[in-house]
Amino acid sequence: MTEVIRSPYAQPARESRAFPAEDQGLNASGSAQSPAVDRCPYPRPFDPGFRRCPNFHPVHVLSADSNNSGLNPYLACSHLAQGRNERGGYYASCELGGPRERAELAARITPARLDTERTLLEGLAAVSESAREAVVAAALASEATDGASAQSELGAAIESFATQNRHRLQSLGIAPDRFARAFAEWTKARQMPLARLGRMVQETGSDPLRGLWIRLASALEEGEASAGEAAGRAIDCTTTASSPGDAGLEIEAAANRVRLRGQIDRDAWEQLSGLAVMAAALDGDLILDLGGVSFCDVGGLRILLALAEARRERGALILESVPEELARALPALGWNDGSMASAS
Amino acid sequence: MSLQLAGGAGGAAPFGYRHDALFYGTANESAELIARFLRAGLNQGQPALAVIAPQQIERVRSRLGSNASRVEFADMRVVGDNPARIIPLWQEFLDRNQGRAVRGVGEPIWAGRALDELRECQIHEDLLNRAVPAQTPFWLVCPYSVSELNPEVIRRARLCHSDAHLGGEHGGGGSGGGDQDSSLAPFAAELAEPPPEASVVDLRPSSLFDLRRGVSLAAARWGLNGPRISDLVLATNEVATNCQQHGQGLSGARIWSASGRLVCEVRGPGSLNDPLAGRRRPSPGLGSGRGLWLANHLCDLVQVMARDGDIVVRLHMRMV
Repeated sequence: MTEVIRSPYAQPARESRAFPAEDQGLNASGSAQSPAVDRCPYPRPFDPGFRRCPNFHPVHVLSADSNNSGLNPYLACSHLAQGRNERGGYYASCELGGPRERAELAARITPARLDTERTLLEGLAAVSESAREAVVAAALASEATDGASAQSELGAAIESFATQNRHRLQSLGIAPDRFARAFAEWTKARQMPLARLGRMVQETGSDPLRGLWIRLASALEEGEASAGEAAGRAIDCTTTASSPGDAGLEIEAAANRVRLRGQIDRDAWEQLSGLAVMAAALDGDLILDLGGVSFCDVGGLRILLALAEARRERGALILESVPEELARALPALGWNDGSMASAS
Repeated sequence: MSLQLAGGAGGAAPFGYRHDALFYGTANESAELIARFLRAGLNQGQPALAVIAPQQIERVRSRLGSNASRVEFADMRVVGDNPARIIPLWQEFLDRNQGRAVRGVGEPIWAGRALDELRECQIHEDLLNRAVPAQTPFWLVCPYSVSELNPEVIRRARLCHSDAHLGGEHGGGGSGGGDQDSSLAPFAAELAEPPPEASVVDLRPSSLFDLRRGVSLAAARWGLNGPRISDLVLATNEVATNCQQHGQGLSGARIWSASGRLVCEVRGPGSLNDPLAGRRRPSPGLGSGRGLWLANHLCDLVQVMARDGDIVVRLHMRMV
């Protein structure tokens, strides 16, 4: 199983073991260089309430020192990654990219959404802090029983948090139970006895809960869709899709004008064929407004073209606002402008 | 290096499809041999198309002199960037000259091809033997640089070509050394796992919508630009739809970014029925079979692996 590979840590040197040694040849040049464009420009760890970076995505990290004594939790960002310069030195990089990419991304996600996410992440960190500490302590002490109870306590804290914040979660398109489930999935996916977690902490100094936190942050970001869940941020970047609610197809007909909304794929073919059967019998020109369609697959287009063909005698079929990506694909499909014109 | 390309088949005797490799040392040598091959065809009134590198087009042109205008040239770096787009070009050339004896030169493999591309080029060369009916009077020569290419590549080339060094020896209608029965075998060649430094996202899609969303999220995050995201999303959707329609659904999907490329992989149980799927221009009508064709035109490289009852399709997008 492949997981999202990313390194969210503010203290990269500690994590160096997790990374394969890089090509030593790169280190040969000792020349001075300008700072990398993706360097995180903010002081770390972040102060509570940090808001200067619009993309800031808080991750509360619990860690222990080499004597297994717990350290104060500190605030990192889930976008923090480990960059390595030409001379082999490490620096804290932003996996979103340079200032331009960061600004574009923030604009796309919208400040309001980012803010809701931050509020949730911080709230979650606050209510679960003691339970998380208990899990870390149990892991360090290799006390399996305590660990299990600490773990279920943490699960309960997360669950009640999700219930209390269900409206916020829903405004992000996330079902509260989905959020709580992330915890269960994480512990199951690790299948790692707490004793082993404890050893891991001792050996590498890494925080056993880091993965959980990333996962919860991901659940927040990624909403319902499981593919999106793995893919990363809750960015609605499907060309024109406005929200996850765009799955499926809505059909709104008035006189000789039919408006389609949503996405046309294999799951919508039957619905669209039904519309085509009715529309084939209409007299006069028929306008299909595809302006609200954020995706249309080739099969969907084929149904529309067949409809144009079927009602050739009765009137024209006019396709309005064909999705851009499909319009671009038409020539490759052998439906160039000429054949479209003859079809409409 | 000597060669008797100009001899052999041709003249009044109709010949069938012939697919030769031309192993050359230097670019000038290759240009000289290509020019001779084309000139011999022109002397017999045979139309010709050469799909080679731009510098090579110039060298051949200058050697052909006034005859150069009678040969069609195309830039292999453009046409063959995705090797799956080459067969349609030959197909179109053959359709245009139906019934006439024709000659072609195609150099899809050059030093510097990425490994992934190389695999697809080799599949392409194998498929050419399948795509062109044996009785087609088409003499195709594929130049290979023995000085620049890996010996293994040359060895593979010998397997699916007649060797032009053997001179006028004519393989009948037997389309080079290609074995018709094993023409699905090239798709069984293993695809390498993503490199260890790649960021891999396992998508585990629960629906096509879900898959599109995941692909689009990851592609945006890795900085693919807008229209290319839409292309990748559409291509992935069509390939996945094929899996659902013709196979038994999707068993997985993942996407990664490595060496300046974004690769989206879709996987499902099934087998490849038509080795030429995606390489035949769809008719403008309403027939099906457009998924891989579209993917080949939207993406920079499309890889298909069919083995052990599974089909894996990888769609590559170059990050510019």
